[in-house]
Amino acid sequence: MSKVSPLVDGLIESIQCLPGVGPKSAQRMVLHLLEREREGGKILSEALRLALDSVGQCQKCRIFSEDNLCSICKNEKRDKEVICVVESVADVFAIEQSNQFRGRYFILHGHLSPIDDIGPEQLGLNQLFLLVRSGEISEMILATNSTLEGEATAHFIYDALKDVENLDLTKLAQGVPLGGELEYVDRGTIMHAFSGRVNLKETI
Amino acid sequence: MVNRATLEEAFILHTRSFKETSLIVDAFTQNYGKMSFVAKGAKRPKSGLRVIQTPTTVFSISFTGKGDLKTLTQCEIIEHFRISSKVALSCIIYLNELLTKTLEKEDPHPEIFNQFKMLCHNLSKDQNQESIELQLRSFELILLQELGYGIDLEKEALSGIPINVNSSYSFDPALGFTKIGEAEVELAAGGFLGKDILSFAKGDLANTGSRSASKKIMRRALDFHLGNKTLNIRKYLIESGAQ
Repeated sequence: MSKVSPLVDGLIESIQCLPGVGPKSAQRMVLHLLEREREGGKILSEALRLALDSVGQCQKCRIFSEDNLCSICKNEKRDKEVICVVESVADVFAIEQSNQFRGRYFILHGHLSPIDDIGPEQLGLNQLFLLVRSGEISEMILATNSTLEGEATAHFIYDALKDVENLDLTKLAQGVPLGGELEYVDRGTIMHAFSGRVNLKETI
Repeated sequence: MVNRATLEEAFILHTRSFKETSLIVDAFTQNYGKMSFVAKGAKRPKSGLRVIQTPTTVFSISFTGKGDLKTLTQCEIIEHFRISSKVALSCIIYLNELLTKTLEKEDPHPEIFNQFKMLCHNLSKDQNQESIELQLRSFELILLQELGYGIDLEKEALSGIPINVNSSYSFDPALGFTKIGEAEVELAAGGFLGKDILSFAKGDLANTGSRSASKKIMRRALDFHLGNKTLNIRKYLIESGAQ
């Protein structure tokens, strides 16, 4: 690296903590900031400092928020009784964009993965179970990813809560994608689509 | 070291995100053993590699590349096992972790691969706890055997005297079984009854004695082989009985 100025070197080094940013991109970003984006850089550093100092997790759903309760949990118009369990905040953004779901969320920030040594504790499952025991939830939608670890996480939660009275545990449907041609759908998805087929009388 | 292969059968042991839409995939291939791949753009909706995250599936993959991390070029589903029970799912997760931690990179073990495939196939059907446990134990035995750490369940270590139904034995993972006395003497910690060992050897785990003995024997043997690595799944799924 440059070895010109310790401050510049330090900045190049520290910017590499971002995912997908190596030494070369870090150097490009730093030079850009110093050469022609000093104002933007100041705003960035201030925003970064503020966010890192004050953003924590919402006490209820574990989404990132600077308040004790996030704006979704605070919103009285949203259905308190339905909770959707997702793996990451990115999933919340995706679901929110669809404008379909009007309940609340619970974010696991990961999935059960023994190889990475991630267990129920890191996922805040105890907090989720406490929430269920408070009794205000009537339906829990398990929207973990359709990967091995995601499925295992859903099974784990289902197993722990299956005997709770007045709680519906549901899972997102799996099947042929919208606008998809059957010919090009993979076998696993077709199998799931067949076993999860719906009665037209009930849906139309 | 292999630089390219086409239409190689593989199981996916583990995936993790890499950059915006890519994945790093640890796979167990039929003819080349455990390997790591980068699946570029595998998270894009239209990517042909997208199916790589389908759980419990045998894939046919093609790859190129020198060095440790190859590039996945093609991936198709050969067979998808529909696993719906929690026990079976835990087994797969356990097996993935076990294979990840016991296999060396690019050390081919086609026999383990074929046994694993058969086991997955059975897990997608069989829901009986006892037979699942028996299959798991048999797989663990074969795994150790193939890795060069086989256990003789029918003979004593060193002397080679056949295991006697009426005796009890101690088990040393590095050595094997050694007689410690006649059966029905109070089993000291870590001792095993000859009849339990023999019924495990015959693949009969119908009674709880042989079942728990088989579990303890395999656990000790695997722990010995794993050295300082631990199987984290044991922490999380203690009661499932799957391990």
